[in-house]
Amino acid sequence: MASASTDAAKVIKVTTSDGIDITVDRQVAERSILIKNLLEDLGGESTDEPIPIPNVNEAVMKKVLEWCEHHKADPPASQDDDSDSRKKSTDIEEWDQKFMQVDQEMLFEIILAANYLDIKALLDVGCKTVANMIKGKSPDEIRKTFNIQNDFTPEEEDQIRRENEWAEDR
Amino acid sequence: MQENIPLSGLQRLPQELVDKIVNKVNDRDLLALQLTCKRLQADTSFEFGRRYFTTIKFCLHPRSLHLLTVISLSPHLARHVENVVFGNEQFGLIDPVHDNDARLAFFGHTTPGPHSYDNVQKLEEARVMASASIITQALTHFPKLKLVLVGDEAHVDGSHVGHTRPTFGLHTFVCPSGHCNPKYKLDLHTVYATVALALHHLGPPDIRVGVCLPIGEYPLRTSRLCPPLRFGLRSLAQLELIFYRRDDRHITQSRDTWLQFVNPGQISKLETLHIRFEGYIALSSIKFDTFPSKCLTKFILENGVIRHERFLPFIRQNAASLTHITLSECGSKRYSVDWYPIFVEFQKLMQLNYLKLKDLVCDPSVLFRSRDAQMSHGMSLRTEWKGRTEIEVGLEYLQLTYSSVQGLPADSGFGYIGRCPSFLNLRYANFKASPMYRWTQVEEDVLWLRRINPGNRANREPADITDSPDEFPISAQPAATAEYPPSCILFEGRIWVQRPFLEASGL
Repeated sequence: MASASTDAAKVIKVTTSDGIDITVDRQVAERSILIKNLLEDLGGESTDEPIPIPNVNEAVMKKVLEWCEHHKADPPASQDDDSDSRKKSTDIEEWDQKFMQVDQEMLFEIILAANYLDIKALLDVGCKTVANMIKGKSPDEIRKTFNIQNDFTPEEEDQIRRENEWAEDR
Repeated sequence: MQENIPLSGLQRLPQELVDKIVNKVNDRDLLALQLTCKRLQADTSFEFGRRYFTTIKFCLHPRSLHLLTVISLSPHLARHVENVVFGNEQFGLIDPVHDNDARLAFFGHTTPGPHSYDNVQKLEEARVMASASIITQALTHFPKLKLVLVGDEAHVDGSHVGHTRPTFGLHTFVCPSGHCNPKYKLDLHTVYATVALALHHLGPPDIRVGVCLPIGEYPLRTSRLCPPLRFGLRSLAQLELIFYRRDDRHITQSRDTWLQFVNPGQISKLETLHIRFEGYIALSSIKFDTFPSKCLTKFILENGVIRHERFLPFIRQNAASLTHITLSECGSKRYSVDWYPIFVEFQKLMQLNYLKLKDLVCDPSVLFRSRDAQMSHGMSLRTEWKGRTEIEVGLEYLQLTYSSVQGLPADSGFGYIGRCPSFLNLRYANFKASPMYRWTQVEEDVLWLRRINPGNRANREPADITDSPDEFPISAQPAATAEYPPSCILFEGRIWVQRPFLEASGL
């Protein structure tokens, strides 16, 4: 049976950019390598001090922690995952697909938060989601999807089209 | 005003995150992204350059060489170029004074040439000098240039290289002055001589040179352009030999001429040897010991047959340097191979950090396991191991589970009609080598069924190491009370995978 003090160490607090304190299981929060390293630097001692997360607001943090809770038992990602050409798939598992069904503002906030908090697997799911939104679309369709304004001059566009021609059908 | 339009979420991402997204999109999507807006064009331009301009390919038509010049003068593209390939497409012999007409795609010349050549050979020499000069100028603008390759079928890092601009727009001239020769056939010797001369002009090279020699494809003429060839051969780092299907006499004659061309004694810096047979298995064609390179790092054999008495000494000879081996579609129904001694030899290669095995036909005497027919075809017949750990574990278990399995992958080049041969079974070695090759759901079910019915094992084949739950564990076991897992059943001593799961697992 774990002692009361050990149980206390299993829960930590984080403070979001909008000043909200969130209590979360240490195991869940440690999906973030940033938080994990921070806690390790404290020498594994329990702390009542909330950890400040100045780049992530409450709504996004809650969403990120929801993902961490679901994936808390996953094995840690290996360092060379990105460099391995055998893992270029954009397949996303079903739960993650549903998790990522949010408005674009939130989607990009999650990606930025995952990058800041160093949660490799969540960042990967976010990037795959955006890549899937781009897949098979024309430049115009991509602009519509992401609300992008075409700011090329006709000359600039011609130049890019010409360079693209050298790359096509290879 | 455009300046007041807020940036979208995608445009606001930092460069490193755009890179991560762009890494996951295919080539067509990348081209589309380039055309969306200035910000994304700038953010994706490095990946665009890396993907399309690391390796570029041209032919010696003036229009193609002009594009080489244009790219060399575009710093944002030129900075990516590492490999330049030259093919030997046929378009006749064009007088260098008419290059401008050729570049502008005129069918005839706007001006007659001031020169007249008394024979084709002099015009050919002028052409070589002019093209070599253009190539030299261009190559000086590629700071990362490593390899210059010659040959239509040349491969870089295992991939065939397509032209940087399609060649269908290039055509021969009708020359009113008779200087140009549309009937001239540009051969590989001439292309090689041109490129070798260009490199010679470039100065002391740390650039490697490669050539892809088609053997038996078309009649050869002996080279008249020897001096630059000798220069180039001393730097030859990559050699591809493609054997085309022809009668034996033609192959032998052609091979001997080419091997004279690449006199192995001259090749001291060969790093990559790539041998490919196109629909022809010539048992005596490859004398591996005629490539006495001291620094061979990469060996690729496609659709060939390996003879132990030649192959094993070749591997031992290069044991200190080999880092990459690919054996693809080797062996045939008639000439199958016992792979075991080869893997024992591979195990001794301490530098080996890449091993690719694909569709290897096995000697019929090797234990044949029909019960593995329900395992994933892809992971049973093919593997790609990277790094020492994967290779060491993979080879160890390849020896421990040495067996063959029947299979006919849809995209295999074998094209057998009727009973297909047995292939080397890589499934269990793959499982041990890397988590990438973990069991599929159907495979877990098959193994479970096999293990809970030891007396009624599929096809009644004897138990072996692959039945050990310690060596080959399965994770989520079906409930003990379940009669069968969902995907398969045991019937008359055989495991049958249910149709929907068959399709889902690619069986």
